[in-house]
Amino acid sequence: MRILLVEDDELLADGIKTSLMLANFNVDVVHKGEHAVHALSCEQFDLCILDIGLPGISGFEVVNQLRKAQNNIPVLMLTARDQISDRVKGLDQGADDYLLKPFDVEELKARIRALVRRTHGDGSSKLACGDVVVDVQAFSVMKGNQEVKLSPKEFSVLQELLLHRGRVLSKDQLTELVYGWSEDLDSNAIEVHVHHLRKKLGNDIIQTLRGVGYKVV
Amino acid sequence: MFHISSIKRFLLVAVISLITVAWLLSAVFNFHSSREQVEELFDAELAQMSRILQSVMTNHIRSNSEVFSPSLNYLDKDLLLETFGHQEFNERGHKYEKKLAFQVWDAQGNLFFENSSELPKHFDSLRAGYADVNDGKRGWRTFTLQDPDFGFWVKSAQREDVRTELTAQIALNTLLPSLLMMPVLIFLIAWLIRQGLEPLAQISQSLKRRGYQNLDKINAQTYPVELVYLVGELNDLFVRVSEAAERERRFTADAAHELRTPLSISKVHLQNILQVSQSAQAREFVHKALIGIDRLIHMVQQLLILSRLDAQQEQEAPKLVALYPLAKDIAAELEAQQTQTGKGIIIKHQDDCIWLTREVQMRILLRNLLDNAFRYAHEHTQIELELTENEIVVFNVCEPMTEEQLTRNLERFKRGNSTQQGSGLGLSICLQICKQNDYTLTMKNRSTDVSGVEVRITKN
Repeated sequence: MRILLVEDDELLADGIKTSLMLANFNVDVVHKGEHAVHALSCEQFDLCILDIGLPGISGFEVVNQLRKAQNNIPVLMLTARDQISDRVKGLDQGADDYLLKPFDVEELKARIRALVRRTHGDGSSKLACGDVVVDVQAFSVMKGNQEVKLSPKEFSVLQELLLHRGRVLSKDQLTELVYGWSEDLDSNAIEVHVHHLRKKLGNDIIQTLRGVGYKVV
Repeated sequence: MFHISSIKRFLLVAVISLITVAWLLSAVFNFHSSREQVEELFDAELAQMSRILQSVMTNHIRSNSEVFSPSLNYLDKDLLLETFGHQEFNERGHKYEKKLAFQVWDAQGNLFFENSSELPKHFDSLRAGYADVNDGKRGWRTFTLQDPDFGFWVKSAQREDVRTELTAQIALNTLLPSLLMMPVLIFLIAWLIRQGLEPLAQISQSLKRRGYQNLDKINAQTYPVELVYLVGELNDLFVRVSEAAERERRFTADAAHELRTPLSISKVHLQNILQVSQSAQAREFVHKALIGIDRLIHMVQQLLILSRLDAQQEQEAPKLVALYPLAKDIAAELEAQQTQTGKGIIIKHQDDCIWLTREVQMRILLRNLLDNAFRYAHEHTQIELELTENEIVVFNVCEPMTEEQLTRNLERFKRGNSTQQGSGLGLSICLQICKQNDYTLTMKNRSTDVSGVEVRITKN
């Protein structure tokens, strides 16, 4: 799952990124509101964690611009402002949830999962396709009654395809969602992961549309 | 400079004393002056009476009348009483007529005639002019003159006692109006002083009525010029105190707010270490560091609450709040954190216990009371929360406290038991809310079946 973290404090951003990456989230970080607006308009993310007090345009303004541009990405506001008026303002501008600093990392992860579930219209933490069930919270995949061991990146590719079920994701989109900006990777990396997934879960779970991308039916 | 405990009393006593002394001095002076004037008038009267008699006698002698037998028809003593009774005079005359006496002597020393036998008859002692005569029974004031042509003597006299009585009466009569005016004057002075000091009383009342957190300016334009400076200085003081309080509040709020980010950084990184570390010892140390961070976070949160209480009071109007549902929510939330300690809570209540109060502040109050009770209660014991129409009572089982501990617990940054986690601000916050809402907070040891500490909030 690809997350854009918008936080001006580098130390904190680094800590949150590490926490989330340890939980198998793919996190990209920007430190300014303008950069966040640009990144969210150009690239695909599953969720945005947004600080309110940013240099340049504020978090309120970022979420406002996103919603005006019909971008419905789930936004979790993360801030030191604990006044009810700030929370109300953030939610009214279009944020989906609000977490107050200092927070517990486990709570942050739980809220991210809940937000993603809500966005994809599924009330549980499990994503299913045929006899394959992916438990996002437990980081486990079951095929029938058997647990299947996946690498973190294979898990991410499967999770993204399940989250965007019915839609075609291009190789570039999948690369962005799974790897983000920070990693150097082989241009065939996604193809390799898809190949491994088919081998472990069966050929028919991921459909390839030549020249377009992949989708889970 | 002597100490003045009450300006109004001081002015009343001083002004009334001064006026009384001035009036007494003036009364004594007026009394003597009036008496002298009246004495002179009586003396002049005596002289005039003598001259009238001299004139009558001279005319008689010059007219060569053979017989002069003057007859004065005075009323006798009994008739006098009957005629005048308690009256002093009427159309028939005056009851004091016989208090005036005269004698006419010829040059040879024969008493020609007189009107009163009481006036001593001593021809030898006749001297022209005024004299005071006393025959042992009563005194007389006399005026004597001798006719230069015929040599006869005329002596007019007034009884001293009558003169004194009349003189005193006349002199006193001049004092009577001012004496009668004195109570009216004192009343008017008291009223004027009260009116004059009314603006001061208004300022006192205005200061007395305002709440301790009210630092609004007093409208100086409504006060007399003498007080404008004082009111101006008071307003300046209010502004300075208000600014200082605001600075302190803002500093605390800003500091607490700014601490959130570094606390987040520490907490996130420590949690990351906890997740990746393979060393059990390192994990234990990090776990302890996280407990410290959480304690610091709690303190920052409490500081923020404390710094915002005044503003909250101004923003939130009292309304009817059902305490039981509120307490139930808070208790459930706090109880959920106590799964390992086995601490629980029992709520006793009368219906919903509706209080006219500020909901946000009541929530903070109940939360802090219960949080405090949970912190200090022994493990596997039940905290008792009792809600009534007028009281909130929280009891938790713990070691009894000394009197000093009970007092110090209400001070900021003082924890009941230093081994417990806490900011030491919980009860200070409760105390502040109680002050703002006119409640009384008391804390005492309670020993029934088990010993513990009871915190009681009572509506005043």
